[in-house]
Amino acid sequence: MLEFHNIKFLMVALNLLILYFILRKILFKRVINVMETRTKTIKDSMESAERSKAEAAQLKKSYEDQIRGAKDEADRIINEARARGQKEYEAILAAAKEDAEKVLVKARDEIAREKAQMIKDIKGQVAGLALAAASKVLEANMDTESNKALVDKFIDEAGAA
Amino acid sequence: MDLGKYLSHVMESHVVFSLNIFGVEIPIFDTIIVMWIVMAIVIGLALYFTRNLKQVPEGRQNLIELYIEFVTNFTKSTLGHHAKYFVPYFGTVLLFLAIANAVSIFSIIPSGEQLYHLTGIKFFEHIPEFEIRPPTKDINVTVCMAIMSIILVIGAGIRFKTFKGFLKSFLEPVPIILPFKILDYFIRPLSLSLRLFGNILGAFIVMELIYLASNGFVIPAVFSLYFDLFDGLLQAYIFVFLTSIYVAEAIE
Repeated sequence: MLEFHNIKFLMVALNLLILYFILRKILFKRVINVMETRTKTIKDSMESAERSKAEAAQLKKSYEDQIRGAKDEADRIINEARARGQKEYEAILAAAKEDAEKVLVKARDEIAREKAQMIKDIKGQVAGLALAAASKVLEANMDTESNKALVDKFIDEAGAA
Repeated sequence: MDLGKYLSHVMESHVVFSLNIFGVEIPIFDTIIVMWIVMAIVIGLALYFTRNLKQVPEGRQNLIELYIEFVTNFTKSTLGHHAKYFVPYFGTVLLFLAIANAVSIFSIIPSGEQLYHLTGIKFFEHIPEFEIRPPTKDINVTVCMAIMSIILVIGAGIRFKTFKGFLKSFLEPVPIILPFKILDYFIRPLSLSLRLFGNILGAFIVMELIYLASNGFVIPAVFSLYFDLFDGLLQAYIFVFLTSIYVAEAIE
């Protein structure tokens, strides 16, 4: 039962070593390899997911910035356009007003001048008519020049009154 | 044949046949044949479980990964980051011992001597005696495994601490401890081998007695669960666990 048997002992050692090398080759190396590869794959994919997430967040932020910038720009452009429109509108209005004023003034002047002309004409005609009428009335051959002066004076007085 | 004779007969290992290689007679013991059977089972299992390994494990791959994960974790818990060099050896020894210790539950075919004992008729008179019995009940096997363990311990110590560092570790923490440290390397394989041998042989004898007492009817099956399966697995675990502790002590 307790006897030591060297051939048996050697065979046991040999058996165990053979078993160890076979199992290491067909079992442990292969399975551990698969497990390590899997660990690495999972780690890699998690890292890349993390990276993509960060990238997406950054992209989102930059897009938001861009959108905000575009909005600001649009606001600015609209405001500018509005301001310019207002200014132009005012300018046009002012020009129109000025033109109208000018036209009005011109028309007034014209009217005044024409009125003066007319009065002058009328005065002349009235003086002639009065002279003719007076000469007809008086039947006298009056000195035309001196009488005309007289009548003018009379009309001026009448006009002034 | 009286009981004492019968028991001492089944306890011993016998030459089943002998090989004649170059004029040298090599006896093949039943221990060795059972070892070959166990090896065949282990290698067959390994081949079956590692067929078609995939990145995403399914079915049987989960089981073998569970086993390797178990061995890895338990090696890591004692050896830390050096664990990966020892996982294959511990895994092999654990698997081998677990199956070798419990292998007698497969000895469902009664041997000639059992039949003779039960019936009084001599069957298979010309066929050599052979029965599947745990190889670890043979002290040669346990001593061999314990010596391999201690060689592993010494090898690991030299590999991870250099030869000088390993020798120096005999003088630490105080030089006076030297004789005890040297003694350690004899006591450890002795205790490893005798613990395993004694447990398995004891369980084997108890099971033989229960067989004889119950005439092999149902009752042995119940006791076999404890003595063969539980005790066998426990002793396999203890053997590997102690070896890993010794290795850890040598390389720390």
